[in-house]
Order: sequence, then structure tokens, then C-alpha cells
Amino acid sequence: MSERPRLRRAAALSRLGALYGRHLARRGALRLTRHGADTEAGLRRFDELYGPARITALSAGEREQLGAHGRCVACGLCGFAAPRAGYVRPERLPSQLTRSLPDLWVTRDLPLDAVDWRAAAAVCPTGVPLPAMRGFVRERLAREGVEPPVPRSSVPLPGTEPPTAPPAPPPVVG
Amino acid sequence: MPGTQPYDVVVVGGGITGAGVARDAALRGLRVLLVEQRDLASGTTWGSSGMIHGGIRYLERDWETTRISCLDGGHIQRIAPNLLFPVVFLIPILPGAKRGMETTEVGLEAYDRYQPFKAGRPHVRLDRAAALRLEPGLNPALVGALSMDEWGVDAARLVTLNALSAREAGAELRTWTEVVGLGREGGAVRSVRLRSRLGGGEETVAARAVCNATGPWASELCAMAGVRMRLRPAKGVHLIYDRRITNVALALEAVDGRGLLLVPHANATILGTTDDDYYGDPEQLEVTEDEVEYILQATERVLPSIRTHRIAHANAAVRPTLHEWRRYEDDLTRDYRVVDHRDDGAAGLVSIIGGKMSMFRKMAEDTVDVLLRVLGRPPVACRTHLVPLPGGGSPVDVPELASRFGVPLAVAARLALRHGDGAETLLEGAAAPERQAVVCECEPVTLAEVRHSVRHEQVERLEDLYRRTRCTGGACLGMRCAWPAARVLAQERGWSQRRTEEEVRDFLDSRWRDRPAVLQGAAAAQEELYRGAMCAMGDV
Ligand SMILES: Cc1cc2nc3c(=O)[nH]c(=O)nc-3n(C[C@H](O)[C@H](O)[C@H](O)COP(=O)(O)OP(=O)(O)OC[C@H]3O[C@@H](n4cnc5c(N)ncnc54)[C@H](O)[C@@H]3O)c2cc1C
Ligand code: SF4
Repeated sequence: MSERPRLRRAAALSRLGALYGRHLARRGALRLTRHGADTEAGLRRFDELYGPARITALSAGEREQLGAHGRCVACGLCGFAAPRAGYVRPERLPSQLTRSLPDLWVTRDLPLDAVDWRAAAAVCPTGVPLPAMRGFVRERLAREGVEPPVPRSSVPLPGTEPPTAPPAPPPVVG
Repeated sequence: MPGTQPYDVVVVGGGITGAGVARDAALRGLRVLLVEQRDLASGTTWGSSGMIHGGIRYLERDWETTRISCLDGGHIQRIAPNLLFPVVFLIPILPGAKRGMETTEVGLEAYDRYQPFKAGRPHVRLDRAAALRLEPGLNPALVGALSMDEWGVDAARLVTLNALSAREAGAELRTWTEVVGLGREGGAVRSVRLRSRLGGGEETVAARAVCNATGPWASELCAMAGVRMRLRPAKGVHLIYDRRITNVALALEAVDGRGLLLVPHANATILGTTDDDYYGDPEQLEVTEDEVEYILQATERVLPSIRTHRIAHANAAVRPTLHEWRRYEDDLTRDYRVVDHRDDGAAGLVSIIGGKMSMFRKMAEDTVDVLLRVLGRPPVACRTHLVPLPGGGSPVDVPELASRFGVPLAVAARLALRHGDGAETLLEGAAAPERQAVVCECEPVTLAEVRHSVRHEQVERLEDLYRRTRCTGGACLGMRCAWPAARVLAQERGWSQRRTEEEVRDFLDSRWRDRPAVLQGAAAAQEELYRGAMCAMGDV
């Protein structure tokens, strides 16, 4: 290695070393003054930074359910079993509308409750839990403060029960 | 060739490097031809992890490089704001990790100084409980985690927009055109021999300079001018999931200590990568079951449930790393090198080797500075950090766009991501029924967007459309949408029924090539069945 890169590398490492010393001193002082406050403070800070981009916590139930969402192979069979409601063809929920968690808000104007999710799920060859998926969207939008879709009918439609997964813990940040 | 006006520079290679060079050179007033043997962005750039990152790893070598890298990330973010989205990382620290909580946090404290250059946020320290509340799927043995962010980008789209911007500035683009020879006169490269990969025709064009931006193919192009340059190419494999399987990105460590990343990316997840020497043909890359297993094992340590997620497909790319960095010591810190081959007996040939997508703009600036010198032109200031890429001029109000044109929010949001402020013009120019007609269900992509892309975005084949719009990029892998998309191409290009059928078959075959390594469980049988049915029916 010629002198210049070697010197730059030495300078980089010594700057990191100096930062390390300062960091340890600061951590030591913090440990003496704060007891157990780290969990909430960390989560609050994370949410301040990334909440606006909708990159937020997953609940344990959501984590458990997410694997099943990806079973959809977009075969379209559920679309034959349950009629569409406006833009919402049953297969669009797993294959299009729920692919990106921060973008679930794009479903806010859609009549998701007007589809018979139970009938749609009954024919799914890979066992995609469509009714639970609909509940997944409802819960996340509620937590993100996105207005729920306006119900088309006052009579609850079949297949729109909340998810069967365990209930979500309280929101991470108040 | 007599009588034809020579190009100032023929840029060979339509990856991010070549497209960036072509744009910069055209904006500085040069007469440019950009030549790509396949489609734009079909090489290494297509197989990248799709991130514009600020170079945190350079902090152990040279802080100045991190600063330049973050500054350039900021430039890219400002010229293409519609195309970038935040990728928020958790770096989970497991007991006995090579870098513990404190060491990792020190690195992030240093990085925080440069994050503002690219509109990045300071890191957050999370204890074990907080990390598990953010991502309950993490290995509960972890001691804590740290967060930091980078930008994600649709890499193929970034290349396309650079190429289209080059074209707007006067450059010519030729895709599916291979450079098969370089003509020399008295120790200088003076002409370029081209062969169309679609029609097979050959032609020679005159050039005052040639820029070799062929990434892992760089040695082959140099050899055409009698120049020897050795690369040490490394193959990298990614597993792709058809949706975001986490909300945060994860930094992982493999059994051999190598770092891997799980990145929620647009509406997919990219997981990888491997890093192995590769001396084969970069056009014939295959993914093996061992590679898939290596990645899954590394991920399992941090996210034990990873195997419950269905992998949609896999891809592979080759990193174009220079073999003998020692010859170019100064570049050890930057990872790229602009080589003027005058001393190798090939005046006029300039290679740009190595680097990363995140620094493409700076790499292009340095390359065009050298090209101007080689051409004997006076220096002209670079403007690529000031002029927005097409669509990057002003922010888009997605709900307003949706309601004005009567399209669902889901459609408007994806249009705004890919086309930025161009989405409005695209929708205005489309027939009303085509604005709503969805061709690709998974993305979603409308007929209006497909037609626009075919007409204006250098689309020659079905696979080009996949890179421009992500049409066929979802769970169906093209089974449902390849035909309708091909029909638009056939209409616009006047293809026969037979030509269209061949195109669809070729395309679906290529989409399924990497499937065997990742097919698992009952879904595999179902998919095979479905594929068989689709192929048998031909068109449904
Ligand atoms: C697995 C992996 C992940 C990565 N992730 C990231 C990341 O997240 N962020 C980042 O910044 N960087 C990343 N990189 C690095 C980055 O992808 C590359 O540095 C960059 O894409 C290289 O672009 P390029 O244009 O030089 O090469 P390429 O994209 O390979 O382009 C070269 C082009 O030249 C064409 N060509 C070759 N020969 C000829 C010929 N004779 N005639 C005409 N055309 C020809 C090829 O078809 C090809 O399209 C990653 C790399 C790998 C391998
Ligand atoms: S039937 Fe199941 S696999 Fe097929 S599209 Fe519907 S949800 Fe997806």
C-alpha cells in the first residue's frame, strides 16, 4: 500500500478510536442516570423519525400472519368464487393491494368489506387466509390513523371478521 | 463510413455506469451514442440490491469517501425524488457478534455526521424489548439493535431515466446492439463495429473516443482494442419475495462472517447476497440450491421464521471488481477507476471500472472529465446534479392525481413512483379506458402505462417492459400478464402472431429459469400445474 491510503486509513481508525472513548464515557454516565427508560425512549424516537413514512412496528399477530400472505400465486381462482366490489377483485387483495406495508393506505377508499372473503378463501388452492388479511389491513390502517373505507352497507357482510391471529399489543407510540 | 460525422464518444454498456456517462456527456455538449447489447439495465445493475447507500463501510478506510458518497446520494435524491424510497435498517446484535452494540453504535455515530447530506436520519439505539416490539420475529436471544437508513431505488428505472435524459440532450440510444469490434488507426481507436441482436445486421460507426462502461464485460471490450485488463468478477445471488415480508430492513451475518441484507424494496423483498469468484459468462448466470441455502441459513439466525415465506424467484449478478487494485493505489478507497488507455496503445479508449450504483453520478462526472481531455476539449462544468431526471421536477400529489383522472390510488401511487411529475402527461395522453385497464394485476400496471413505455422508453422486447414498468414482476411471474402486454407490443410494432408467441415463450422461459432452486412446498406443484395450463392454452 502506498503512503496516502495507509495514512488515510490510520487517520480513519484513530478518529473511530477517539469516538469510541467518548462513546463509552457517555454510555457510562447514562447508565447511572437512567434506569429502564431505554425501551420507550428508543421506540418513541424511532416512530418520530419513521412514522411519517409508515415504517412502524409489526404486532406479534401480524408477524405470524405475514408468511401466509405470500402463499398467493396469483392464480385468480378466488375471483371466480366471489364477485368483485368496484376495483376490489378478490385476488387483488393478496397479489396487489397488500404487497407493501407502508402503502396499505392506497386501499383507504376501496369497498373492501363488500367482498365475500370467506367464499373467496374457500377455493384458494394455497390456503391464503383472505378474511384475516382483510382484518390485517383494517387494523394497520386504524393504527396509522388512516380513515377506514366508508361502508357500503350497514349489514355486516360474511367473511369480514377480524383476524384470527392473537390480538395486537397496544400501539408502540401513543 | 465515408461522409458520416463521427460521434464524439460511443459509450458501450447501458447499465447505470454507461447511462450516467451518456447523460453527463450529452449535457456537456458532446455528440454521444449509447450502445447496449441487450436491454438497458439488463446486466449487473439489474441484479443489484437496489440501494443508494452512503458508504458506511468506508469509515474504516477514509472518511472523505463516506462524505463524497453521502453527498452524491443527496444529489441523486434531489434529481430523482420520485424514484427513491426510505429503507430503514435494524442492525440486530446477537450475543457474541463480531461487532457488539457499542462498536456498532460508534460507527453509526460517525455516520450520523454525513447522513444529513442525503436527507438521512440519525441512528436510534434500541434495547432488546424495543427491538422485539418493532419486529417480533427477531431472534429473541438478541441483546439489542441499532437503526439507520439508506435509500432504495428502482435501479432499472434509474438507468432508463438517465438514458432518456441523455436522449433529450441529443444522445442516440441503441439497445439490443452489440459492439463486436473496435477499429484502430495508428494506435488510436477510431471506429466501432456494431451488430444488431434483433436483426443481425452489422454497421461501423466512426468515433473520436470510446467509453468502456461494460461492467463485468470490460476485459472483453478492452481485448477488442488489444488491451489487457484483468477483472476479478464476483457473483452475487439474491432471493426475491413478491411482497414486503418485514417493515424494516435487516443487516445479517452469515456463518462465514460476511454481511447480508434483507431489504423491503418497493413492493418486494430482496435478500442476499452471496459473493463468490466467478469467471464464466456474465450472461449465463445460474442460481444453485447451495446458494439459496447459504442465504436462508444466514437469515434464520436473525429471523427464524424466514422459511415460512415463499420465495418468488432468485437472481444473480456479477460485481465488476478490478483484479489489480494495487496498480491503482489511490482508488483503494473509492472502489472505481477511470483508465485512459493511451499508454496501453489505444488512445481514445477510456474505461470506467468498478464502483457502485450509489456513486454512478460522480463516476460519470470523473469519466466525462477524462473524455473531454482525451478529445482535447476545454473543460465544461458538469450539471448532472442540478438538472432533474425526467419526472423528478416537482412532487406529485397522489390522491389528487387519482381523483383527477379517475384511477384507483393503487394505480396512481405506482405511476407517481415510476414517472414522477410525468405521470400527469402520461395520463392526459392516454385514452380514458386505457387509464383504468389493468394489464399487470400485481404491480399494478395499466394499459396506458404499457403503451406509453413502448412508445417512448426504448422498449424493443417484452423483457424490456418488465424493467421499465415491473409489468410481470409479481407473484404470477408473467403467467397472467405476459400475453396482454405482448399484444400491445405487437400492435405498436406490427409483430405477427408467430413473432408474438415466440416473444411470450422466450420471456416466460427466462422468468422461470431460476425457479427450480427456490421452489418449495405445495405451492411448487400448484405453480407447475398452472404454468402447464397456461402454456397449453397459449392465450386466455
Ligand atoms: C449482487 C450485487 C448487489 C449490489 N448491490 C448494490 C447496491 O445495493 N447499491 C449499489 O450502489 N451498488 C450495488 N452493487 C454494485 C452495482 O450494482 C454495480 O456497481 C453497478 O450496477 C455496475 O453497473 P455497470 O453499468 O458498470 O455494469 P452493468 O450493469 O453490468 O452494465 C454493463 C452493460 O454493458 C453491456 N455490454 C457488455 N458488453 C457489451 C458489448 N460488447 N456491446 C454492448 N453492450 C455490452 C452489458 O449488457 C451490460 O448491460 C451490487 C452488485 C452486485 C453484484
Ligand atoms: S385463489 Fe388463492 S392463490 Fe389464487 S389468486 Fe386467490 S388468493 Fe391467490
